[in-house]
Amino acid sequence: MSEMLLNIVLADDDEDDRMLFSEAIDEIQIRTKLSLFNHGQELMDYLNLPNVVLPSLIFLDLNMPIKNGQQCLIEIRSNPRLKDLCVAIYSTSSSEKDIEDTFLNGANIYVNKPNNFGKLREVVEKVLQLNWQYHTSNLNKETFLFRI
Amino acid sequence: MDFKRVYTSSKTYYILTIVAFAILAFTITIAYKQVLRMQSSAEMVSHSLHVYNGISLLTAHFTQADSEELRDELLKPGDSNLAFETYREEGRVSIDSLQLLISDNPSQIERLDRIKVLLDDLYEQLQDLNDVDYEADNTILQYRGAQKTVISITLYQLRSIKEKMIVEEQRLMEQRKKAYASNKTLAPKILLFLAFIALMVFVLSFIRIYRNKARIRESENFLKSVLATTDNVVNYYEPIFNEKNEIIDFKVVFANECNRDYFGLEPDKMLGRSVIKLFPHLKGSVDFEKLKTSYLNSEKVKFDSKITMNDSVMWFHSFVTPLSEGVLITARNSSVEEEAKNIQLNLKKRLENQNLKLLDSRALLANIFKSISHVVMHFKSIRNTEGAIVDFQILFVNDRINPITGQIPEEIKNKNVSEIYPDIFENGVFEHLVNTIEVNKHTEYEVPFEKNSKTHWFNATAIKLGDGVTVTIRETTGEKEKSDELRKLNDQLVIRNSILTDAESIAKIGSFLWYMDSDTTEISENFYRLLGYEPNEFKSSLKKFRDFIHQDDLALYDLKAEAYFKGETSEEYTYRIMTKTGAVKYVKTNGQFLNRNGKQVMIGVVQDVTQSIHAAEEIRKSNLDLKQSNAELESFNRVASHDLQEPLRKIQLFISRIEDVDGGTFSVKSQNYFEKVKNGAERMQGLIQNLLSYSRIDNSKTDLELIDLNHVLDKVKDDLVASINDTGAEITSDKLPNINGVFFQMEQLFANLIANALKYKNAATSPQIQIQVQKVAGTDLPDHLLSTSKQYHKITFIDNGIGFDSKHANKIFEVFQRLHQKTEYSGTGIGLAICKKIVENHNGFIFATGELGKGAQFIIYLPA
Amino acid sequence: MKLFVKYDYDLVCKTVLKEQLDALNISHTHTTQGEVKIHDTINETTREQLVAALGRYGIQILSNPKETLVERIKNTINDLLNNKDLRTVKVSSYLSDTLLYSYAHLSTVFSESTYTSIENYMILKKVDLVKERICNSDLTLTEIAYQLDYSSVAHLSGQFKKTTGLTPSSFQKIMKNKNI
Repeated sequence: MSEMLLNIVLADDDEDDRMLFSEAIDEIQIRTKLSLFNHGQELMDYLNLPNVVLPSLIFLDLNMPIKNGQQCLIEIRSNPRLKDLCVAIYSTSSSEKDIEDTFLNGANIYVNKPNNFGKLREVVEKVLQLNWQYHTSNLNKETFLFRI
Repeated sequence: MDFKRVYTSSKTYYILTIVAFAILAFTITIAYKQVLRMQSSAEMVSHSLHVYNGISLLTAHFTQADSEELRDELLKPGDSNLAFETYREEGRVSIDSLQLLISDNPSQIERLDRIKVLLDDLYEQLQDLNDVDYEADNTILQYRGAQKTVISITLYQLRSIKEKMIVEEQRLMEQRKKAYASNKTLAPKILLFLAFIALMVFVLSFIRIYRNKARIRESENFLKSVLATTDNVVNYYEPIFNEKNEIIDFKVVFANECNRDYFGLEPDKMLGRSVIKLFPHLKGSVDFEKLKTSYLNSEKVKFDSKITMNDSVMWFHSFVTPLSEGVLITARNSSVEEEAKNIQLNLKKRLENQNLKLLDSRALLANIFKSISHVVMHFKSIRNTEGAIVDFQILFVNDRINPITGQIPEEIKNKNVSEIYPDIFENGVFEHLVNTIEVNKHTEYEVPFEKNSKTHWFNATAIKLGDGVTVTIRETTGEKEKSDELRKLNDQLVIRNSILTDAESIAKIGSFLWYMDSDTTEISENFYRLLGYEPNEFKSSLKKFRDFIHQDDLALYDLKAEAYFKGETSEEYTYRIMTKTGAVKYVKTNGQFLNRNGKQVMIGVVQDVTQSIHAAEEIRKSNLDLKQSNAELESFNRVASHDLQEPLRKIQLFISRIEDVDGGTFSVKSQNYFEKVKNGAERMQGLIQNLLSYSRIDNSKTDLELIDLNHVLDKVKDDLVASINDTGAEITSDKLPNINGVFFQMEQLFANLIANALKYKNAATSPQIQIQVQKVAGTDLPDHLLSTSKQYHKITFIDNGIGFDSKHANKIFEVFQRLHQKTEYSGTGIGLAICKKIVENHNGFIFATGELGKGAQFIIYLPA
Repeated sequence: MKLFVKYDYDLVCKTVLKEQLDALNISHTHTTQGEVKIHDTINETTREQLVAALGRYGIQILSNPKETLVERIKNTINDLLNNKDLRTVKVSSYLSDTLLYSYAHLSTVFSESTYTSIENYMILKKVDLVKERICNSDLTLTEIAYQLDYSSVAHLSGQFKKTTGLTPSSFQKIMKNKNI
């Protein structure tokens, strides 16, 4: 289904990260449509729009002003309309506690922000692939847990 | 029923009066009836007369018919009819009136009816006579003659009836006259008689009443004079009832003069007042009940009572006589008799008691002499002519002499001492005895007595009694021996006590003994010292001790003391006391209950733990400080590392971006510089990451799990496969144990140690890393390590690298301590610090030994 | 209340498929996973009805030949993983033997449409089975490793960690806490 556009969103308050992320997305094979949000509240407002086309994957920074990643995650998982969305946490924190907490709150993938653009590209690609697999193959979404 | 009472009672006279009235009323009625009867008799007489008259009239009427005039009259022609009718009318009237009169007499009526019939016959005959033709005619004349005869017969008949009626009437008349006459005489007589009777009754009654009254007045006077002169209290009470008809009180109706004399109560003022109010002692008393019973059961009652009035005690002997309306109390003052009786009684009692006591003391004495172990003797002085004592006579000796001397008391009694105990004149005893009598003071002395060739010692006490002396002798041989022994024991005790005192003083312990029943305490010398006092400076008690308790710990102390008292607990507990000087000390108390001589006592110790408490407090404080600074350090580490990481990550990202985009166009020089920038950033990242992991180590301690160190090693070898291959390193290992730990920490530990060995390899040779495992007992750990576990796994990493000088053995585990130039060996200086922290986090130990140029050994002890 | 269930995806899919086809009176045979043979031809209306009916269960009728082939590869791999007898078989030859294409061709087609390789897919699928067993059974890792033909627990753990970024135990812990 390579002709299909993958709908992806990223909520991150860091402008540089948003920029680099979209550059990385541009450079990978998979064709995507990326929407960027400056913080969690913006993302939630967007997701709660009435006729919005729900993204197939959400990248979520943890440390954001106004509404942080954890809060967004909890809100998404408690909203029947949004609860099946695939959520990838995209954070600098490598604290075990943060990782465990996000998984317990329902995150599917935990991504540490890489310090190398090449790695960033790889990571993004891997997440998209995984997401793709979980969307197209009959893999068990209940156990959709990855840390990259 | 007492006749006299009826006789004297006023009620009797009421009854008599009523009877008199009744008789009078009766008399009057009788008289009235009599008059009525007389009246009717008189009427009856007059009635008879009327009847009589009627009969006469009738008789006259028919007698007329006999007369010729009438006949002629009747026979006159012409008006003959008229005359006859008048005549007939006359007859009818007189019959009617007579009929009326005799309507009450049937026999007369009967007769009258016959008269009526005869009269009618008569009229007819007269008529017939008239109707005959007057023309002279013989026959007619004859007939007339005959007719006249008939009339005469009728008339005769009439007359006879009339006679009978008159006789009847005369009889009635006689009868009525007689009745009237009798009534006339009887009525007044009866009246008179009855009136006399009534009068008599009145007179009788009056005489009775008068006589009674006179008698009453007489007896009253007598009574009064008696009551006035008697020295008995004579009172008359009438009961007062409550609504339930129970007697609640009496009221005084009469009281004699004696009341004034004995009770100071004015008799006149007593009248009508409540008895209980006048004599309050009666209220609810037995005497009052007796008054009640006397009244209710109408029986005489006697009682003695003691009355306290106006501070004087009086005895009264009272008689209660029930009377119709109340009770009469006669009370005799028996105080004097009573007193005399009491004195006599007391005297008798005392006498009896004395007698008893005398008997008792005699028996007691006898018993004492029998039961005591002392020999008691009494000697009477025997004086010479000058009055000096020369000898003694043995008056008494008890049985105790027998076991000592073998003498029988009865045998030596009344004998002289010089005969029985001649020794006393030699051993000074005699002088003692004489002295006792002469100086009159009791003397004690010791006297030896030889028996079975052993000297027995006796202690004797002599007391003067009359002209003699009583000697009490007691064997003291055993006591002497015992007291020697006691002295020895005492010496030992003194020594032990002083040891204990010293021990207490050294251990800062005070001991106490608490008598629970009397709440008194005995406390040791050091206890006094603990409180800041000299030994026995005050009298100890639990209450006193409580004053030393620090105010803030009083509640706790009281709670514990109560628990102790109830025997609920005997746990030791610590509290503060304030010593004499005001210094605060921590003391720890522990105690236990004992039963001492049947008394519940508690013994225990109090220890001054001020120093250890202070020390513990110090430790706690410094621990707290340490924790705080550790926490601060860690949070600083985390924050710093985390916040440092962000810009660094950006730098690295953009470095990689620049390299990607423009890497090919750099000049050689720029390329070189760019590499240096990249390396710098990487080093910085390594540093920060190590710092982060170092600061994170503590946090995961809770997640201990059983891990297989062989897996850890495999994993590490996998991870480091690149550098292992690069350096051609050879890693050999014993079979590693399973331990309780955190997997990723162990992983980091192994990785760091192996990476270290690879990094500091000897340039000349390929690295050889050997891992040895040994199980050791906790006691076998090097001296400076404080083992907390029984067994440890000793894991040693031995390499053949550049080694280090052993003097730096400790330094290498400190953060940022490097032994080498940065350029020479890359490294952050945190790796070994992390290792140390991980091992310590697993309650283990790590240390290193090394020799410069020969290699290093890292020895790890982990609890098994 | 919580109810814990275990289900066989394969059976569920097959049952749903059969029910829907039977409902539309389509005579069919379920030949292999992801493939149904329709005995008669079906008209356009019935086909639309079938698409709609199956769509509700997330089942798509594939029309693109490449897509179909990818699905067949996936299904074959799933069969391979689920069948103990086939463990010893070499995957590439089994695939080409079963699907009658050269492995290179299959590999290219697969990568083109899934952005990943057959090997990666297999690992992912295998790890997914491990995950499922960790969550839905009381089996130990050793038993799971044996069942899924791993040479050792370490091998399983290594692959698991490499694929998911998590160790089996931390995964198990997270899933356990998540369910509570």
